[in-house]
This record gives sequence, C-alpha cells and structure tokens, in this order.
Amino acid sequence: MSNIGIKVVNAGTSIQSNDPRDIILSSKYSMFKYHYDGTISLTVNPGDTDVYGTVAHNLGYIPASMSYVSYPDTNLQTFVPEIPYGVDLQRYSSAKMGTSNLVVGFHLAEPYNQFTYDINDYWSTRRGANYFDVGKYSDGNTMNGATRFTNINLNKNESYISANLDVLVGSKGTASTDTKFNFYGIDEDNTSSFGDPMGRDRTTSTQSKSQSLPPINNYFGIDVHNEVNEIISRAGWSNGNAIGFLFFNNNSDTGAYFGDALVLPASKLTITKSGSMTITFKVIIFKDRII
Amino acid sequence: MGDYGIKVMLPGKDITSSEPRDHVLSSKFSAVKIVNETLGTVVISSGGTAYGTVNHNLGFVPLTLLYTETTPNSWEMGFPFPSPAGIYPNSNPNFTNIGTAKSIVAFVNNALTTGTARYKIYTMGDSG
Repeated sequence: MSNIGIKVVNAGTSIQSNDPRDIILSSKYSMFKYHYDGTISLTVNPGDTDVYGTVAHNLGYIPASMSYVSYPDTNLQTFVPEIPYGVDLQRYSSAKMGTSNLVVGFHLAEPYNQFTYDINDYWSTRRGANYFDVGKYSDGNTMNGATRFTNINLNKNESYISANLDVLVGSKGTASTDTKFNFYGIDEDNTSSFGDPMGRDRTTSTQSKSQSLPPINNYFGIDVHNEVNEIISRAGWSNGNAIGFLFFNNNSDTGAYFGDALVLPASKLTITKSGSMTITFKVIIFKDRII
Repeated sequence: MGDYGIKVMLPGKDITSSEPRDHVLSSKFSAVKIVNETLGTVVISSGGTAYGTVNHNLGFVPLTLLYTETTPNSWEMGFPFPSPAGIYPNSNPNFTNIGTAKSIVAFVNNALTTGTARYKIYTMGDSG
C-alpha cells in the first residue's frame, strides 16, 4: 500500500495480495456502518389490505438498509421486499427508503379475515332458476327472488364482525320510486340447491327494505348479520354448509324492480371474522448513503 | 486471542467477549468490504427493457446488494413486487444476474410512456 492505512489479511495469505477475498479488513475498502438496528411490528386487523409502519432515521439522505420479515405462521425470516410465490399474489411485504424514514409495509390481495362468497344459486318467481328478480315488473306482476351461497366458513354460533350481502343490480325497471321488499334468511341447516325455494322456512329475523337502486351493474348492500346468526345457531349447522336468503316484493310501484342473472360478477356475501395478526420486521439501516 | 490482530468492542462490552454482536470490528471476522458502488440511471421505452451494468472485473461472483428507485425518491432493496402498470426490475436471472466480470440489472417498463429508473449496486470483495 502506498498510503498509510490498515490492512489485515487471512492467515496464510500474503499481505501484498490484491484479491479482496484474502483481506479481512482494509482501509482501502469501505464497510457498511450501522445506524439503526431494531424491530417494528405491524398489526393487521380484519378488513385490512395494506398496513404500514415507519422507522425514522433522519439522516437527510437515502441510506442503504436491509429488512427482514417474519409471519406468525412461520418461524422463518425472509428478505424484504418479497415477491409472493407464483403469479397470484396472496401476501407480500415491502420496505421503502426515503430521506427521513424507512416505511415497511404488509400487503394482502384480499382483506384480512374477510371471506367473500360468489353467488351459487339464484331464483326468480318470474324467470325461474339462474335468474333473480324482485319488485313489480312493467306488466304489473309481482316478482320474488332468492339467493344461495355455499361452503360458508363459519362454525356453529361463531362470533364474527360483519356479514353483508351485496346485491348486484344487473337490470332494473324504469320507475323512479324505490323497490320495496321484505327480506329473510332461509331458516335451514344447509339449504339445498334451488328449485323454487320461496316456500322454505324463514328466519325470525327479517327486514323491510325500501331500496333506491344504483345504476345497472352496481351493488346495494344489506346487513345480514342477524339472519346469518340465526342460521348458524341452528342445531344442525356446521362449517361449510350453505346459506340462502329470500326476497318478497312489498308493494313496489309498477316498474320498480331489480334483477340479475347467474353470470359473474353477481351478488356476493362477505363475512368479516374477528382476529388480528402481528407482522414483525427486522430493520437495519446503514449510515452509508445510496444517493 | 492467540494470534495477533485487532479487536474493537461496543461500549460496555467485555474485550474478552466472543459474541460476534459485541464487536465493532475484529480481525477474527472477515468484514464485508465494499469494493465498488455504482449509481446509475436507465431510460426505458414503453414496453421495453433497459439494462444497468457494473463491470467489476473481480474474477469471481461477488456478494452484491441491489437497490432500485422506480418511484421518485423511494428506494427499495432487491426486487419489489412487479408493477403491472409501471417500471420494475426484472428478477429473471436471464436478464438480471451477477457474473465473474460484471453485474447486470434489467428494468421493464409496462407504462404507456418512456420512463426512467435508478439503481445502486454495491459490489463486495467477498464471494457471493
């Protein structure tokens, strides 16, 4: 070395070696210098899709860093950012560096602990199977309808946060007034696929709705928590059974109706269960600047 | 220490400690040495791929750290989740790889307009 400095080489290696692999440390080569070494935990709550946490470094420039993440269902640390396995993303983590902070993030494709069920059966008293109509048609005839969802992930009497039925308005009448209907759950352990379900037992819980309809191909929502609770409290209910709902026209004006067909997208049932998850990041920030 | 060398401990740590985390530096533990830092910018046409290259000429495949900026003033390490509508580094080893003479990082642009990305590559004097 022509300059004054420090150079320590591996045992058995010449001090004059220029191969970096022979060198334990050398003042010729900079090394990463620790600025921050700590952990940060994020809480993922039901319904969350993106959760963030901030580690302040206040260096005034963008520093080099390394981050790792561990999930509660594994005992392993993995590098951040991580790309989820395969094409379909399920969850992944990120770490983005700025001049003052490093922001770690956890991302889900679907809201945490939220389960959405696509329609499995429709029924219309006007059009029969695979169709759904509620209200009073333009010819003055009453229309009643039903929906059914299968493989419901709820245990008997399980407590959960919410249950919402999103009804897709695939078609609607020309009346400007609300569509009025009475709404029930189908009070059965595991309601079967439809062949005119309108006579099936109904839940005690019921709702009288006066529904202003959204534009076609949009949804309106019904809180079905009470109806679902009544069904899953049945003696014969078990996880994975089917749930259905009945709609009965209630004095709608002629031309006040909505309908849909069994083609996705269609009506859906969304159940949000309780329970949070903690994600822990290990963050190391160096004093060395990227830029 | 039976051999001659250098050992520096963190404040409050015993000089005789053999716990690596108690050390600031020690000639007993080889340090990860930065032999090259390269900051680069690539311009990527819409639908295209552009490459950043570091000619390290070390003769071996080095330990390497990659940071990328595909959103202004927001840097990430390695390969962030691909942006379906923007610019992202391509983790396919056929495009981004480390060799014995050079390291290459490829960026893909899925946006409708030409864009830029920056990268910082740290090349270490240690085998990867």
